[in-house]
Amino acid sequence: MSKYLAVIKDSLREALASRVLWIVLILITLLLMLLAPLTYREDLTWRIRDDDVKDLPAFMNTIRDEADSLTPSPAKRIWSLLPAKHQGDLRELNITGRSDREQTQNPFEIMRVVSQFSRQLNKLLERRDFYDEAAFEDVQMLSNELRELRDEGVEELTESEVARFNRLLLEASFPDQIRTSPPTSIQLMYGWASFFEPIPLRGSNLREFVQTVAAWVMKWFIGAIGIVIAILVTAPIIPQMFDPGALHLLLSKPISRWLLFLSKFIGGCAFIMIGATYLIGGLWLILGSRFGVWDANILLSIPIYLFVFAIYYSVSSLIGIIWRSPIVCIALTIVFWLACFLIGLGKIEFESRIWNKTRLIDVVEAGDSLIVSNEMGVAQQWDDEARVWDPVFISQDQRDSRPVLLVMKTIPRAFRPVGPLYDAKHDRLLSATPMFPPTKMNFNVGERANDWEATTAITAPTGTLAMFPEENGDVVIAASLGLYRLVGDPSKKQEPAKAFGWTIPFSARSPFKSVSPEAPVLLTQPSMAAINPATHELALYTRATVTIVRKGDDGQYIVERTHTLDGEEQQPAVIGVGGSTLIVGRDDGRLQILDATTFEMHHEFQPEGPNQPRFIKASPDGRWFAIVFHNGNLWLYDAESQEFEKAAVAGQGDISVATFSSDNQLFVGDQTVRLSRYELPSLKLIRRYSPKLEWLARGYRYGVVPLYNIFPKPGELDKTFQYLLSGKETESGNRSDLSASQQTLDPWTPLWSSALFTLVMLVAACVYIEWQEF
Amino acid sequence: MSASAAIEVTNLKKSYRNGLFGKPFAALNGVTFRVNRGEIFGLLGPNGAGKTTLIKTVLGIIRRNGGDATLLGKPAGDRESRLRVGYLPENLRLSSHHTALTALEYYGRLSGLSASDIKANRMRLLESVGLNGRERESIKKFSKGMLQRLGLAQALMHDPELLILDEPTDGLDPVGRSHVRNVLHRLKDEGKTIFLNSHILQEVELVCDRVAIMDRGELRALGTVAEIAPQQSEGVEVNLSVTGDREAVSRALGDRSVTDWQTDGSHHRILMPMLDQAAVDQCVDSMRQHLISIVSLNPRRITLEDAFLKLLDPSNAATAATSGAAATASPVIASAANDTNDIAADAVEIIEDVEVIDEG
Repeated sequence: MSKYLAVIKDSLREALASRVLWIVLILITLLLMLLAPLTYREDLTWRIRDDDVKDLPAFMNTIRDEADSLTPSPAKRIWSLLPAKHQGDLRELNITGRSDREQTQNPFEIMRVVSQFSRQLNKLLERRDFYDEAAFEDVQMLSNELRELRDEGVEELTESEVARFNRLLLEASFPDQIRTSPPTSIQLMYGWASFFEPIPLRGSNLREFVQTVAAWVMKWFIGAIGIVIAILVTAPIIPQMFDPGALHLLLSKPISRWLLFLSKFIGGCAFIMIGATYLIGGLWLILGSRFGVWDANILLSIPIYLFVFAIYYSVSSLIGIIWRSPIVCIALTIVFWLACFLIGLGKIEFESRIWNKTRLIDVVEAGDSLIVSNEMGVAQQWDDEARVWDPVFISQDQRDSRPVLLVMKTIPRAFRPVGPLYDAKHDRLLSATPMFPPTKMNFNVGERANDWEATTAITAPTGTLAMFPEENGDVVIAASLGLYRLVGDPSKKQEPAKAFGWTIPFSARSPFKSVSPEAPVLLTQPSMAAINPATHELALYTRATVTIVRKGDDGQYIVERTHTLDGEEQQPAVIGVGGSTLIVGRDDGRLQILDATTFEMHHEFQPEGPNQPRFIKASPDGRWFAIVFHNGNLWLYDAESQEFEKAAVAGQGDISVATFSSDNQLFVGDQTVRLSRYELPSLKLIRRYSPKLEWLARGYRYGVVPLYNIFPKPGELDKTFQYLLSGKETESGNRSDLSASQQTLDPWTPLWSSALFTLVMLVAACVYIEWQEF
Repeated sequence: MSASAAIEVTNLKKSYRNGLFGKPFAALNGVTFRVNRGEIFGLLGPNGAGKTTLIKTVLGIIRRNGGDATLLGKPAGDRESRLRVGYLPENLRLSSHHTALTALEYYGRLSGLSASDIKANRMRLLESVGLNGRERESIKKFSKGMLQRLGLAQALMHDPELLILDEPTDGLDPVGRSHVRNVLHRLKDEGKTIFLNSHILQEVELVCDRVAIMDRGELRALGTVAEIAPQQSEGVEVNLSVTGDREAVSRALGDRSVTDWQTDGSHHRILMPMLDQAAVDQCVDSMRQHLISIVSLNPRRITLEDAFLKLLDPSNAATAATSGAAATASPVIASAANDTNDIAADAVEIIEDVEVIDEG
């Protein structure tokens, strides 16, 4: 063994004698010196960023509309504090919101006024006199933070606390227009200078943020640029060994040829390890000392980077022993690198942008029809004859937004439709689909008699979140401003009443009747609503609080009880309620099983580690709960026996939906478009809806996937790294919504497939060197 | 096969192919010889004769296509025997990141030496090849001769029983060559076996106990220098310096063959081949009878180079074929069959082999 260690030592000695290595080390030193002053400061979040206002021009209209009002209101307060010149500009502004697309004014003038308004608004937030008790009297101050600051008294607050207080006032005053914000933001600093806008982040998310940045740096900076440099630097090592005057001497020594080759290979890797350790170790020190993130897992990127390099180097080495030319090594290895990159990118892009969007995420029983909907919200009816899911009930909004949705990797909540819901009373489907751009939602109706064709006549309540059937067959809608019941005909446009040929203002009757409790429950994000199919109570989650409401005798909903979860207000959660059980899925992967009446905690599980739950559905009889996790695993909770088990059904790890039929049977969707129906509690398969594969699916399954499997996946090892950092098998694009789809990291596939490929390359090289004559 | 042989090859064959579908080309075509322990053995031949191929086959760097080869009693390529061999390849290339010390450390470790053994030996060895004082310099600054001497030192690092040196004096100046020659003699005195592959004939003539001559993959001759050179000469060449009348000189020479005749007045320089000493005596008698005064008479010594060139001369190869292979091979037998009966038996095989060569 000492002979082979001598070869490795010689490689290191060669590395240290190499000018290239020293140049690389000097460059790394310069980079680390450049990054060393980078740090952050944690500030209270108060500044309104452009994307904090859902529709800025519409918000400006809201403020302007109150200009002449005599009643104090938040909008009036803002208006009154704006400089006169800007008030004038606002009055002259001729826009009515982006959605109407009617811009008669010069667009540059509009842009100027909009950006000026944004600046003025932020200036107002810094004013200690912004809070006027009369103006904000009617505002529901749901946020604990806001109440605490108010109770402390504005005069007692520091400047940044005043700004934060004012920001919270705005959020509470315009819950459907201004997004909620985490209490603190991260301000990136370079030495004493701050740059970029503050990033709104909860303190607990800093580590996650750093991990994401680290994975990004790993992928592009080290994984791409670093690998190309490493290929260039190490390409001559193996061909140099084949110089006849050097090779024959080596081969005359009492050593094994293949071990000699492997030692040279390891020596090349050691060469790279020096640089990688220096760079990554340096970055780790900077992250630790400047950002306080002492995460030893970041150092795992050293072996991962080495592994990525080893994949390419195994190819370079095989090419090196066959052609014995550094130039050929570099050229072919870079071609190989490109091929890996393109194949990996092609597959991932195809999956995330097209294939995964066809995954089933909901099942609706519409009488004797079985309807599913996918990630894009497209409803499809099962056609038993043709054995396909047949798209139905597609609204115009969905057709308009389809090209945009295909571009997005994950679909943001604002673009997701609500429904379809089967309205059994009228044998029709109902849904709310966001307009494009997503400022408002349209309400769609599809009659069975009309082949479920979607007709759109009215808009849905602002911030429609969910729709549920009530006990008597009416439909109740949970929206950000409260609860509404559908009372009118949604397929007819709301026309104002006319008298003697005159239109009576504000006389158009909305088909939605507010049925909110006396103090409406505002569902500001992160929020979630669920129905107890057994009791028809609604469970509403917002700001770390679960509120159970029930329908009173007069039809209005009444708050039954509330329960506050431990942890921060801004945490997202997913809830399911059935019978006397309430299950709350937390963003750290915990499942809390509570008594729905007393909120007494029965159990707490974390069955999938930090992987988050996505859907929790309760069976109509309230006995069963199906919990689908983002990593595609399904767990079942039996409230009767209080047993919690991973469901013994097909497709674990690839399950996208699980829900219950009206007769308490279990639907499970897997393999993107396959749906299976199981009997409970035996979990015996009753029926499988497995559609014929279309050409696109066939091409993917029999073309893209096998090719992808054969090739190594060095470009995806950043996912392994990210998994090692976070312990999560999925990557969340939306931290405020657990039910939003997440990108699967699939951390182990790139590892084993790349390891296998590298092994094949090395074995081929060993066999070649053993049998070839030199 | 005898266990005492350092190298023994029997009917060794090796052919190469140009490309995948190219015609095979025989680099070694049934070569048979043995190198005894303790001797300096020289392998001669023009470029492309198959000398390096033979060494690579014996060391197991390439595989043979036929025949048999042993190294220190073990089959060719055996790792244990390679442990006891020091090898200096032709056109040695050492990585430029080395100093003399690190190069010796690296190759010493590859030869199975411990770090302490290396430390104990390397300064002494560098001194013996004349590189002391330069041991910490980068070998980038070394001349070809210095590199060659460093190569020799690495071959000696692990105190091998057998040294295989492929063109060891290549690129060396006369002083360097002399230095290497001295090292070889000293090693021989220490009982080492040295297998020397060279195309510098004077070098071989000066140091080798026995010599083999190869051409186009075949063995042309094998024996001591003394045995090979006269055998190829068919007598002696005499340089005769006389004074007298040209007519008289001509009469005295009679019908004897003359290679060269230069006249300066009454002084003549005549170069003529003679079969043996009797012919020389008869020529002197004839000169004296014609009253010609003999100034000097010098028989010219036949060198290994003369023998080598003659052996490789295609026209001479035809003569050898007609005159019979046994005569050509006789020194080989005499040399190879030194003492023991088993060697004699091997020699018979060699004769048969040489006959095959000649018939070919």
